[in-house]
Amino acid sequence: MLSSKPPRRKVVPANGDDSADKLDQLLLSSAISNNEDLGPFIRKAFTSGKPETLHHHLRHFARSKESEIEEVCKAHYQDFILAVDDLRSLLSDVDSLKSSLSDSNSRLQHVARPLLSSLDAFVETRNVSKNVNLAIDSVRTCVKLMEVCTRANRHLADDNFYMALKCVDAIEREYLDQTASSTLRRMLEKKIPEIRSYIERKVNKEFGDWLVEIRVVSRNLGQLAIGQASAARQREEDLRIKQRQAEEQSRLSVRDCIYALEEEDEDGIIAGGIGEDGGGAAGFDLTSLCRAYHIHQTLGLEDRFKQYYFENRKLQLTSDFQVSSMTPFLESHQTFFAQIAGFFVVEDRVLRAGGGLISKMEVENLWDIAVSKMCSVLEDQFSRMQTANHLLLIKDYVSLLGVTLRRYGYPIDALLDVLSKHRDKYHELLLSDCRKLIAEAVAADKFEQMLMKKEYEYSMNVLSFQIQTSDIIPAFPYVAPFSSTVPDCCRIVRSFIEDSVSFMSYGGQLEFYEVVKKYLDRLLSEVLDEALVKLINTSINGVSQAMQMAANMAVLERACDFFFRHAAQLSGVPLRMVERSRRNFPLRKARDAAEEMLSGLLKAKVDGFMTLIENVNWMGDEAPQSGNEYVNEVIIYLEILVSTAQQILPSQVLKRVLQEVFAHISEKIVGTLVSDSVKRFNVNAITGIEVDIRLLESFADNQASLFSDGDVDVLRASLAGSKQLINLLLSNHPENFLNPVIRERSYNTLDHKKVVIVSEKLRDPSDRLFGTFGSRGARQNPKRKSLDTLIKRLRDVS
Amino acid sequence: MGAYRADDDYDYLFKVVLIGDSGVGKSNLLSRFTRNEFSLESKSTIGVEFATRSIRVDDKVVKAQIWDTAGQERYRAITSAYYRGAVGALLVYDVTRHVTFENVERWLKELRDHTDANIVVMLVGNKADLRHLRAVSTEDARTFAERENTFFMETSALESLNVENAFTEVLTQIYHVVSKKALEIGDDPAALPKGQTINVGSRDDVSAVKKSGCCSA
Repeated sequence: MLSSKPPRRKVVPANGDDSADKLDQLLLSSAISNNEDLGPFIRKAFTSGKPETLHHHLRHFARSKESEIEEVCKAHYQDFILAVDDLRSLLSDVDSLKSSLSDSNSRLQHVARPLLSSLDAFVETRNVSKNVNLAIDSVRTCVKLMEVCTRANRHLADDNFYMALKCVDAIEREYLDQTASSTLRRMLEKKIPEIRSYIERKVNKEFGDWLVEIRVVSRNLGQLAIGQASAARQREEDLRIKQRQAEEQSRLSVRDCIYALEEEDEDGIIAGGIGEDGGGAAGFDLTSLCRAYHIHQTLGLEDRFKQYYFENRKLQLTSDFQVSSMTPFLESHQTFFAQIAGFFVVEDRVLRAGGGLISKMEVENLWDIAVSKMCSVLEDQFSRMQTANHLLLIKDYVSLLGVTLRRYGYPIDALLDVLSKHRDKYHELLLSDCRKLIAEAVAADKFEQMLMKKEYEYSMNVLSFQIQTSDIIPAFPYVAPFSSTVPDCCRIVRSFIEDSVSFMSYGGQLEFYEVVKKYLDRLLSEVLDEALVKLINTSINGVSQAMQMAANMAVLERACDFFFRHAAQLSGVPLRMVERSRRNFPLRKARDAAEEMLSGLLKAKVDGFMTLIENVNWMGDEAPQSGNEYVNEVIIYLEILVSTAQQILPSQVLKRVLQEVFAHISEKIVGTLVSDSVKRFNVNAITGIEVDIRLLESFADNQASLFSDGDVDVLRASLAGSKQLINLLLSNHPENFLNPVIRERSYNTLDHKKVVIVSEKLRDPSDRLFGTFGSRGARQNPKRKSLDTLIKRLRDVS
Repeated sequence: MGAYRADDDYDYLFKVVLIGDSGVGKSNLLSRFTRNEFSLESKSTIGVEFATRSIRVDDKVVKAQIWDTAGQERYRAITSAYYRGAVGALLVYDVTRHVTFENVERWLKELRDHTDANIVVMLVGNKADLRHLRAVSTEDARTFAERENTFFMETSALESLNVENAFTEVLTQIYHVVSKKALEIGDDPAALPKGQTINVGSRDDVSAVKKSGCCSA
């Protein structure tokens, strides 16, 4: 790279020239060692104006190197000659080899050309085969796809939705990506969702149909289930009746019989209960529902379907709650409760067999809603009912409903609570009904003894209430001691007992005898007793009617024992427990009223005869030997009365009545002696009264055979008042009345005032005789003196 | 087909009232018939609403003016004005709520107290699509309709089931009654001016038409 420009001369300072030159050499040496670019150094040499020096150094270097080269060339000349000779020889050999190769290649080409043609044909054919195979595979895939599509269509046509969905899933999963045809793929992408939607709509339609059908099925199912519970209860009742009959026969000893339980026929009971497979007509079909649920699970819509199912079933249940105001609840209640019962029988089945479609908590929620609604309806309907029979009908059906659903595991305590709450109302209505019936029965009474011409009449009116007086069947026609009121009222009370037990039975309360007994007590003591008292106080005309009522009361007392035994039996309480607990006669007021009425009428009758006492000769010269007229009349009347009464009145009642009458007679005698109608009397008259009292006592003695206890002193004691007074007047020492000991023993019934009044009336016969001899001073009568002392002392006491 | 007519051009104008308990679907029946719309919202009608639609009967244009009212008690003050001039009525109950059917008798009495005896009445059981919640059987309703001398159909405003049929049947029957009355009057054009409401004839005419034309769902 010699420059064409003329070189420029520059003068370099002498001192700096050595150090700069050394530095440049070092850098250059380093650059050369490192194989770096020498360009910058060359350009620097020329720019600094010293190219001649560089040329000189380079030429010097070149000449030294050329010397070295000549030395090497001289040493290796021989070797070089030999090498050239070898190369020449090699060239010849290579030419020879080249010719040989060319010949071989020509020969190979000649031989291979047919093979190459075959190869080309082979490759082409293989490509064709590959394409054909691809086409065949594609077609085969399409064929399979079409087969699956055809199968899907067939399943759809046959409504086999699950299989159809499986085919559609298979198409989507296995064939959609493999399908080469974009047209086919687009068609599939469009149709697959459509098919799913179609299946969903179809299945929902089926589910809707099932919902419609299941409501009708539910009502029939509920009625059937409740009917079964009713039949089971009836069988229990029949068995209990047989046991009770056996027990009654044993107690009455009417006839000996060996009681044996008959084997129940199990064929009539549907095995496994309602709704189970094999139940025949009792079964119902969940196929549509399970299918719909399964399809929705397959579609991935399980939760949505579960919610849809629950909400619609809840709506159906709410619809079932509608109580029509056009139809009386008494007519519609069975349908109402049966529909709800059937609903829950179905839900129980769905819960157990539905594969999780509905949860136990959801069923319990529905049940809580239903119980709350049923209780509300019952409260409302019960509050408006005014007939006991209606409450009983509803209660029976509700308790059957409870039994039915308890069997399926639903808690029914709330329903039973409603029934218990209306127990009082039911019994109040029963009492009200019985009050009317008893009033009618009592008003229809003719106060005549009932005539029974045939044994069944006796059985119906006497044996069925256990009011017979003997276990021997009487001869017919049979005249009963009671009138028609007695069996009529007994039937009403028995109906009350049975209705009360009917309400309390199966009401959740196992021990309900105390409740029944309480209400029975109320019926007897408030309703029947009051009705009888009213009858006795307002409708009795004459002694015979009063006597009949007293007789009726005696029979009713025995009937009351039967009532409580009957209530106990129906309530399932052993009789020995009932008989152990004694109770008061509930119809005591009526009995007392009847006896008082009879006594009152008898006293009035006796008073009529007692007016004859006015005919007594109080100052007669002789005592009548066979009694005064009045007492004979009374005794004749009483004899007739007793001969009639003993046919219908029990001895105890008759005794109590006679006691009253005798006490009354005694009071009348004393009253007459005290009254102003008698001014004075003598000893002969008093002796006559004594004879009268003795006649009455003799009559009382004659009645001893009537009383089982033979207690005649009771009747005698009724005459004590008059007897003591007469005894005092006839005594030779009347002043003994002043002695407390003697008075308490012999004159305890006498009143001081009456004694004074009567004593003053006693006139001694000598008074009159002495009156004619007033001038003579006669000896004082000792009895008279004693009597005067008594009068004086008693007057002082007053 | 006849020549095109403007909307306000009609041969007859009939006032038809919708009555029934609240919530039975009166407003949706109206909107379905007049605008082909259904609303799932259960907003109560306030006071009175009305809409119109014209149909063709025997080559005559019949314009229906349909009045919709609230079924609730607090809007009862409008009854007299509401019923005035009505020649047809749709008495609507809800087949899923028995109480709405029980109240039909009261609605019918009120209707007859306020309207002409010749009014055409159709008993309409709506919400028939809710088959699984049905509480009023078709037979019970048909028996009631026959006893009360009314027409009867079950509809579903939701599914457009029988809505068109119910309204067109009422309008057709009204038209027939009016036409029969017109025949008795004669062909005097002055007696039937265009655009005026026509009072229907005697009750016997309506009864005769009803007995022969009674139909059910």
